[in-house]
Amino acid sequence: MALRTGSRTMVLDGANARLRADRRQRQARDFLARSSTAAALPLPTVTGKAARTGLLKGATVKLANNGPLIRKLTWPLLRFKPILSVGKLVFVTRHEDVCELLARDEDFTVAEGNAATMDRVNGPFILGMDRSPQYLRERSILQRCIHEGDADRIRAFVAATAAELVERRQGSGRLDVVQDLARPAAVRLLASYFGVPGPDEPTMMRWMRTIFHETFLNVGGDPQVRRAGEASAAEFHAYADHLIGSRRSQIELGEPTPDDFLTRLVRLQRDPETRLSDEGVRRNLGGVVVGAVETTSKATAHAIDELLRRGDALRRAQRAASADDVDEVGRYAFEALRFNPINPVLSRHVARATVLAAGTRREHCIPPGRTVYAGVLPAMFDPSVFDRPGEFRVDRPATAYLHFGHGLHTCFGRYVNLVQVPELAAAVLRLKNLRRAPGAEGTIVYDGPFPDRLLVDFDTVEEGRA
Amino acid sequence: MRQSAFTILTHVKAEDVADLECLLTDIGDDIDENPHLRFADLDNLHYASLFVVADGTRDPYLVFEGTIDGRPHEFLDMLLERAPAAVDKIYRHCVDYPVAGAQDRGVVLDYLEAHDIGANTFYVAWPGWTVDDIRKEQELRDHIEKFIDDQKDADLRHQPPQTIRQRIADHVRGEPTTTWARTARSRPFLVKNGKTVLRLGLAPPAFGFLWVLKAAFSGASTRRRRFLARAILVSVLGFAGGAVRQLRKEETDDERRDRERAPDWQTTYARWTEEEELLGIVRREDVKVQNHMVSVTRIKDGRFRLLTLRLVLWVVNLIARLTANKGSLGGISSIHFARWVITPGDKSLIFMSNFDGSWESYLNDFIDLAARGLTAVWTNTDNAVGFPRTKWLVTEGARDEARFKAYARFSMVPTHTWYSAYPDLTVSNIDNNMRIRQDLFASLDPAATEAWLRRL
Amino acid sequence: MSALERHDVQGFVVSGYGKMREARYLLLGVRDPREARRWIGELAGQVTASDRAEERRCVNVAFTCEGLATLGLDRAEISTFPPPFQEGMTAEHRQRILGDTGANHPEYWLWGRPVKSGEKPPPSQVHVLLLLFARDEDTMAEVEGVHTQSLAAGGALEVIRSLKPEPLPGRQSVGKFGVEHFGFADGMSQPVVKGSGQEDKLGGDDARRTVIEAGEFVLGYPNGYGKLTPWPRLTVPGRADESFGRNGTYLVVRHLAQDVAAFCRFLDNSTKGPNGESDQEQAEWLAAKLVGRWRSGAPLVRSHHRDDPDLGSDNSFGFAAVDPYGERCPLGAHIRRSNPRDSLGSDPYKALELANLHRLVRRGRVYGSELKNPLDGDDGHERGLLFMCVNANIERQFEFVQHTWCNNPKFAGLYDEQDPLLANQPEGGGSFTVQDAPIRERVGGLSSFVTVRGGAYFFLPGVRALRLLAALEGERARADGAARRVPKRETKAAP
Repeated sequence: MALRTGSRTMVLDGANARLRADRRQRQARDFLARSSTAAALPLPTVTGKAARTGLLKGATVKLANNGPLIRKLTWPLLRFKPILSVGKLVFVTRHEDVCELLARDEDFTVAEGNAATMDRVNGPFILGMDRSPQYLRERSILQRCIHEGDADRIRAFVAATAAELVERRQGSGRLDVVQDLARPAAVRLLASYFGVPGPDEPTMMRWMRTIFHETFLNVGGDPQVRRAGEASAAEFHAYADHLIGSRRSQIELGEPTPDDFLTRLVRLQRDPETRLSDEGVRRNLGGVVVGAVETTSKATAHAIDELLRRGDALRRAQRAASADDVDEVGRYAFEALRFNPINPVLSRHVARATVLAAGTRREHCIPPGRTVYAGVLPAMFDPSVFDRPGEFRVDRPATAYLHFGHGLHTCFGRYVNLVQVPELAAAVLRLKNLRRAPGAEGTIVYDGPFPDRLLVDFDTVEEGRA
Repeated sequence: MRQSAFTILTHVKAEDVADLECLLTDIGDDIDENPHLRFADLDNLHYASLFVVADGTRDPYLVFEGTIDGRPHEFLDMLLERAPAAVDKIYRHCVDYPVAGAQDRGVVLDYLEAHDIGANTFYVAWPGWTVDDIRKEQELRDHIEKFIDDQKDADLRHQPPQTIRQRIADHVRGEPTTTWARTARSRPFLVKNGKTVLRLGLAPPAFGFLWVLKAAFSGASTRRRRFLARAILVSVLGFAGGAVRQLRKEETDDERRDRERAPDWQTTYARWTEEEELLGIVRREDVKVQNHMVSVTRIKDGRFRLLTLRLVLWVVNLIARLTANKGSLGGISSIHFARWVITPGDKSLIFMSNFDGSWESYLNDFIDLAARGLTAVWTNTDNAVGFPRTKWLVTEGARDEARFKAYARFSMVPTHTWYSAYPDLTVSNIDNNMRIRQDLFASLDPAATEAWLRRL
Repeated sequence: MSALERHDVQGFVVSGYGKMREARYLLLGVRDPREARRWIGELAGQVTASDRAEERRCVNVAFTCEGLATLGLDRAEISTFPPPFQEGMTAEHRQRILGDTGANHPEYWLWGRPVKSGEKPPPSQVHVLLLLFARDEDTMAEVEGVHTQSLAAGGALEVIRSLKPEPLPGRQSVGKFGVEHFGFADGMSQPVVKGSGQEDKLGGDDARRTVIEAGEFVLGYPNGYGKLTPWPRLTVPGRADESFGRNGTYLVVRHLAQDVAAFCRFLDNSTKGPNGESDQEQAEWLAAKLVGRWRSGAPLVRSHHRDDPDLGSDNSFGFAAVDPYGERCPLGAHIRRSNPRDSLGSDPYKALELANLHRLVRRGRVYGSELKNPLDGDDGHERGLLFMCVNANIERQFEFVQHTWCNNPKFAGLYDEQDPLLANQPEGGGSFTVQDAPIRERVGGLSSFVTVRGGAYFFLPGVRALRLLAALEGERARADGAARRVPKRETKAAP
């Protein structure tokens, strides 16, 4: 994309005034300035009401990452009131009902909750759309960018990357699962598989986190989160425009290009059937990429954290890791994640008056306009699907897990993380004498809703020999 | 300075009605340049209107509505000083106008003041903002806008928000005609503290009631006191119950009478729309951004309705003074000034309003945003179309869109003469200008700076 | 009274007949009321009702107030119609509401203009509007032939003017992918009439945004306030019928000429580079800002950087959550003015409800040939849009949109600008503000790109009402009605 300079004149009340130069150009220019200032956004003084709502928000964020507490709170619902209506809200906790809810995408919709933020930050993307010709078309185009063998390619890349990242920490005997392993690995996968390396790793990590935070988790509309998210989004847009533009010209000139998601998306533009507009490529690429870092990192951190709580399971998982049985490690990881999933609750909007769990004793009429919370976590403790839910068992049916959601809006990156999370977990589990860092350092530290640090200690190779 | 309202109501000699209407129409047709009365010469005047109500049922009368800064006495004195001939020409047609009028200012002043019935309810969008303030702040805004438009090298818009604001402030500082803008302008006491005042006012009766409740049912109070408290409680409840019953009775009676109305309201209204009167009203409308509306309705018979009306007007007036004093009355933010006046003899209710936009959009606002308040007032009045059926004083009523609009249209009287001191500004323009000025030199955080720049 | 009586409502209310490429609008004058009523009786059997899925041709018919008076409605009956219909589009105060002043003044209109006092010969008054639609040219020729013959039979009616809309080359005639002369996709945003069956697939915010009570578009059903909009009645003893207006509605027709050359010249001039060279990209940007959508139809709210044809038919958006300050879609942009959605007021939910009390079913079609090289200047041929819209309350819907939204210089807190496409701009050029962070931009020099060339308010009766009209007796009323209406218009409509 050629950046244009110079300004244009226009007539205004007889005098000449200037029409501002292309805004994309400005964004590109402001890019660096903002990158350096974004971290030092001024903090307004928190007083009175703001402090109270701040506390409340803080509490909500904390609760969302506290699997055991959610379990305790939702257990009575699951047991006695599987569908509960309070005011404008409805809570659904049974596995069967949650699946029905998520499957009935035309009655329980996402656009009301997601479309506006999605539009503001990224532009329309399937995650903020409900079933429509546009949704189906764009989803199928994205689907066509996934080729056979991608899973193996991702597996190999993540395994190598993880090994390299862990190797760096070998000498120290301490690893931060989040910052040393999961986030950089996910960002490198963005570069290698999706074709979006970002200007550098830290910038990319910051962009992905702030954009993701604003897009999906800024429920209370925190102005600082919004500012940071929108600033990152503007920078990322300018970057992505440039990236896509140069990739397209490379392809047009017949230069060799890496076979990654971006190349495939651009190549699909040749066929009118699968052609996304240039802007369509940008917003779809953005949408796919933004969801691909923090989710992976959170899943890995939570899985390791839960395994560390369970000595026996941890040892068996480590054995599987040492035996390079990553599929088995995956079973441990996803079972562990059940105790503290990345999305304990999903929300949907009730688009029209409808009945949930029709024909059962729980049958419930829901008027339009309500918000329904699908309790993913309690559903994964529903004894009718998860026998003896309190026990850690790896022989559970893989299809019963709801980590990737269910129905139309099942996570698009599922095929990536089914491979990536087990590989990352395996890399950690292979460490000798894996244990939490002692004291407070050994618990997960969160940055808002995101795990920001999980320190584990292990024996260095020398120690192991000795 | 506080704005005030005067409403001078004088009876017109029956034989002079046509002449007077003709004169007022002449003035109104060319409000700026007419040879009779130049309103623009009268400082402190926000709005003025003059119209004759001659519906054939009562003695015709002339209403002179004025909204001014300061007190009516000074204003009327100035009016008589600057335009004695015009006043004489108009009031000559009125009953009781002092014969010596043309010569003696004092006599005329007394005459006008004696006929000023003020307003039962008076709403001011921006209390304390004088004509001068409003005009100057618009000039300030124009000045700033011009500065921004004149930035030929387009350099300004590439600066960070703080710098842009700084440059604008510097530019204004360098302009000698806008020195007044450097001193901040504080809002009147009641605008800032109205809610507190209201709470303080409500507290004693609320505590009193709680005390009575406690005394009536607590075992700790003496027998005598308990008896007294219960007696008070019973009488208050009894009085309230009686009032509600009476209200419902009045409302069901109205409903019955309405069913018997012949011809029905649609026919009455349809016939009226055929008359020239509607055209007389609409020919004055939508000429400028602002419009004026005068509605005259007959207060329903009986003491109860008059009492309810007075009570409602008092409450609305209180709300207007204390809480609805920031550019919006019940959600409607297009009214500059409005008033309700009960005419002497308690026969009619006159509503006068200076508002932005068309009559149609104004009435839509009534129905969509403030139906309850409007219903509570107008349900106590009547005309040949009839106010739509109301329940519990505030519900239904104005929500019956078609009939409410017909009722309001039918109740209107052509405004023969109408003057606005700033016909091109809306309530929200004035608000915006006010805030531009207020924060121009203030110290603002980044978010507030961006918000300020959005006002330009 | 929930489901629409589709067999009685004329089909034009629920469909723009997108499949019918050809259309002909005949403006008729009644010459012999008795014969004309007979013709209406015949036509009632052929009129396309809402329940008919026509494949080849459609016929609809509407009447002006003069037309109904001439056909025999008496004064009392006419008075049961609302004032705007009785007074007509050209009444003096309506000119102010509609912006029909200056070059738009009715005295310059091709049709629909009032009689000037002493004018000889007086212009023919439009009484009836006959809407003909056909799938292709051959069918149209046949349909038009048959109807022109039958309406003239017995000297019943006379064709005063025939309007011929035609889609731009390679475009659809109407609907989502119709393109108007300025080059923008048109017709994405239409209300869905409750009870028409089209609302079944909509839910959530989309339903809140687009599904509108039937009474807003058809008389006899609950409107947005849950009430029945008063409808015209036949009141004369012997033929008194309450249901004359039921299933009828009002059709607003505006014949709008578009000055494509001026529009393109304006875009070009306003975005010229420092050396005077044209900047195509910047011109497109400005055009999109004026409209609020890119040429493909993609809304700026959802794609503010550049056109995104994949969003071309998108209508699932509000303004409040994404673009409260107009930094994407300017506050004064055409689509934001003509349907502000949830943006006016502090509560978006309520704002949407209130905005939806002012919706129009649009049925416009373009006319005239495409201007090939607009920057080379005008070719002297007229082109534009035959704007039509259906609404049950002309004052609260069409006139409100026109006056309080489109033509209002104070719309959404602005100071001094009007709809950049439609408005009758002041001498010296209008301006347009493009809101942006950190500071707005202002474009000057907008001229009036659209000129009104004709127009009228019509009543689009139900099929049953057509039969009632055909069965009216007596000549008496005609003379009475015609004599009364004309002088009143004469006095009030003088410029």
